[in-house]
Amino acid sequence: MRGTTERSSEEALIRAAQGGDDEAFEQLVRTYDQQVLRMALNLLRSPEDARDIYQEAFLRVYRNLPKFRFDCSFSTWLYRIVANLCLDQIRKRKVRKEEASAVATAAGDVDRFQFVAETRADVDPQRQLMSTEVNSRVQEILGRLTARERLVFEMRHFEGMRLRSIGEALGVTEEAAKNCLFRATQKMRAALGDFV
Amino acid sequence: MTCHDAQTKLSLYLYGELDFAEEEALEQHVSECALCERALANEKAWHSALKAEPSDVPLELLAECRRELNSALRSPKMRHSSRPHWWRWAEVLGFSSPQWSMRLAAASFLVFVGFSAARFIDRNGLPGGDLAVTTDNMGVADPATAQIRDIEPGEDNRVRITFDQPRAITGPADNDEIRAWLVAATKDANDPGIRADSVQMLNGQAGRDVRDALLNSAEHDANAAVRLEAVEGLRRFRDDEATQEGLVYVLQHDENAGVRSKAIDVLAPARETVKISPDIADALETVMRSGQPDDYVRMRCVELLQQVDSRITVY
Repeated sequence: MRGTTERSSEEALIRAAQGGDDEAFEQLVRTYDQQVLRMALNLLRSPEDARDIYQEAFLRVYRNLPKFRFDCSFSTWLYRIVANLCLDQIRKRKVRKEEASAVATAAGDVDRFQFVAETRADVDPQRQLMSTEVNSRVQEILGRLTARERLVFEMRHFEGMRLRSIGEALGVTEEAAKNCLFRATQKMRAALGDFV
Repeated sequence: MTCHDAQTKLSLYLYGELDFAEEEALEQHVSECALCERALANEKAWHSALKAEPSDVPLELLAECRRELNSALRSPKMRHSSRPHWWRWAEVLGFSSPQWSMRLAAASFLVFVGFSAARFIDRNGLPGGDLAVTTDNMGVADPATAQIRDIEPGEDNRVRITFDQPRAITGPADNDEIRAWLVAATKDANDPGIRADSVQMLNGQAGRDVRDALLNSAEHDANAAVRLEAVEGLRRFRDDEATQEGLVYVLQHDENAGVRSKAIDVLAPARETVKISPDIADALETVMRSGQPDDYVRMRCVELLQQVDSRITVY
């Protein structure tokens, strides 16, 4: 929980940045940019995509900061922007993957990705520690979650965000976020049950 | 609560997302039901199999993102989009072009100079008396480049203008003043990139302040890449007892296997005979028996302890 002093100094920074103080904006960026980048990397598992999300998120913040009225916390607003950008990217990718991966065979259309293990451990150190088998199963099941389920699961499990904040970031109720998390954990449990 | 109710709430329970009453009811049920107790154990197992600690972001990628953002923010398009509404009116009226800015600035400056000179002569006679303007730092008083942080009116129509200007110093990395800045930068709380760069620049330098800064980073920095760099920097101090203790601390406590492996390599480079105190030998034995998952670290500990044992045999 962030302290009152920290919140008020953040408010001062935001007001200074709203007044055109670039140094204050840079300080705001530095306060949150590691979390933003980590979240984008965890969700998208691609440094290129994470870099694009980072840049687009902070540019949107910069453009819209004068309109920020402190109706919610700055972090909630920022996470909402990042979450929406990531959701869009995941959805786009699913469409691309479905278009690109269908291979016509005598037995009908087959998804070639079905046979390819995901190996993106280089951008995600926490998964380097897991066994290859568990890792590949986790990647597989994460890929099967809906974009929203995946986002909620990543934000809760890997980012440690509370469901209320996740709901605020995604613009849904806490109950809806809870239901998403429930569905995601059910699928994860079913997939990992034999390994643990 | 039924078993079905309990088992659908296990994950939320582990995430701490149940309200007090639900949590109480679940704990009560689990304490009385062996089936749900087992289900909870399974749930805990897969939760911990997916390690939940936040991972470090790759520093190079972070630095690249910051550079790109900085350059995008400085582009004319972005600067234009962030200007306040009054600026657009100024543009409509033609006051925003560089020529107008220059003319307005020049005119204001001349009015200011005339006004100030009149007051100065009126009060002090002709120039040659007291200094009218003093600066705490002569380098900042350039209106073309300095940014103003504050303007504070004083008595007798005097004013104090505080500038906000980045400062830079350049010099050899082993210069005392530069080294003191580098040592301070290893503790930069917000920026692992700066910590990594400062540790890298200290790597290879002598001095107790350097050793202490590297030890502090190796043992306590939140970022694994910085810790790895700091451990490497301790190589030149490895015969020093405090350094050996620090490296053993890293071996025992660092959560990152790469940093632990680096620590054992720095403490005892392969195929070299190393002088190790009995206390360090004890600590290595503890590491060896601790059931750490790194085969490499355990194997090297065994090698080192065999060296120590053979020396004891010889003497």
